[in-house]
Amino acid sequence: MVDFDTFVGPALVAVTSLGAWLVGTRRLGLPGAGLAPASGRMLEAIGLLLVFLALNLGVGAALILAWRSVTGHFVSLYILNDATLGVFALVQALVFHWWWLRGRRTE
Amino acid sequence: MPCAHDLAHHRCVSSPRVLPDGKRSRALRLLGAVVLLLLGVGGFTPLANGLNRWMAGPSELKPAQAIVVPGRGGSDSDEVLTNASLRRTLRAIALQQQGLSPLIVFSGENLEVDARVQLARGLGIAAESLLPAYGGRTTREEAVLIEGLLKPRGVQRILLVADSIDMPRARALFEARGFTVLGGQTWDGGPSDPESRLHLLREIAIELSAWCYYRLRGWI
Repeated sequence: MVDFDTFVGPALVAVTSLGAWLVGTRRLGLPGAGLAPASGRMLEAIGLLLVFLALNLGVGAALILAWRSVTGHFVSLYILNDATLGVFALVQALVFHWWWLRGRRTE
Repeated sequence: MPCAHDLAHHRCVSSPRVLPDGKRSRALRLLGAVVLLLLGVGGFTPLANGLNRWMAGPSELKPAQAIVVPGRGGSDSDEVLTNASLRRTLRAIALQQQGLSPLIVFSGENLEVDARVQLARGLGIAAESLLPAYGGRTTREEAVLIEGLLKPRGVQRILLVADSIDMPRARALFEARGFTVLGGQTWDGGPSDPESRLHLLREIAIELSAWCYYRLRGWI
């Protein structure tokens, strides 16, 4: 069931986010109105992360199944069950996202 | 001119092209929002636990002609069973000792099967009550192997001992081969911390993908 411990993490994130808001607006002079577009960018990056993850998994699964049928050698699909694939997808998504934004700016 | 639509407002130009293509951008934002929502709900509510229990179906600990224990993760390099494999093995041994079945079938990788048999023998299960099924590399291969071992013995009703997460596909495979399957899930409660719930959610996604693949191939 859901208990108190579950919400320690989100509470910490809320506190540090509030701190970042204060530092951003008061120390760095960032406009508060920029937060909503920034959140939109964050959602785009996460969306791209999912796209890259799905691509990596789909291509990986297709290659493994093709390898099995062509060579007859067994390779488990479970080798794709690896968290590092998610980390790589994150890197791909961030690079692609920045590249995309930069490309749009220079058009 | 500062641009309120972007983080890097000092560098952006006041052109509608500053923002990525509208439709693609909206689709990605929607996708991102869905991911975040899923992470929030999956990590901080018992959704994954409930989904896992629902997918596993009912637990029916009743007498059967054989207790079937598919492989799970094999054994570590020191030939000790993995946590999940050990949990299933101990559960099957306990059910056999309760008198629910005269026979236990252990399948999986060869080392895993050997380690399971050895453990069962050490815990007092008679050799004639153990039926090792060697060589199954996938759940489907295990089901085919076990069918070949049990059908000649006239076994029709089996008690399937597996984790809840593995139950839907394993159950469907054995049912497709004409067995009456009773569920003997090893664990019903599910995790209670966010990280473990998200891990379970990932396993559910994997299991659903595998289920769809088996379905597409006509195996279940």
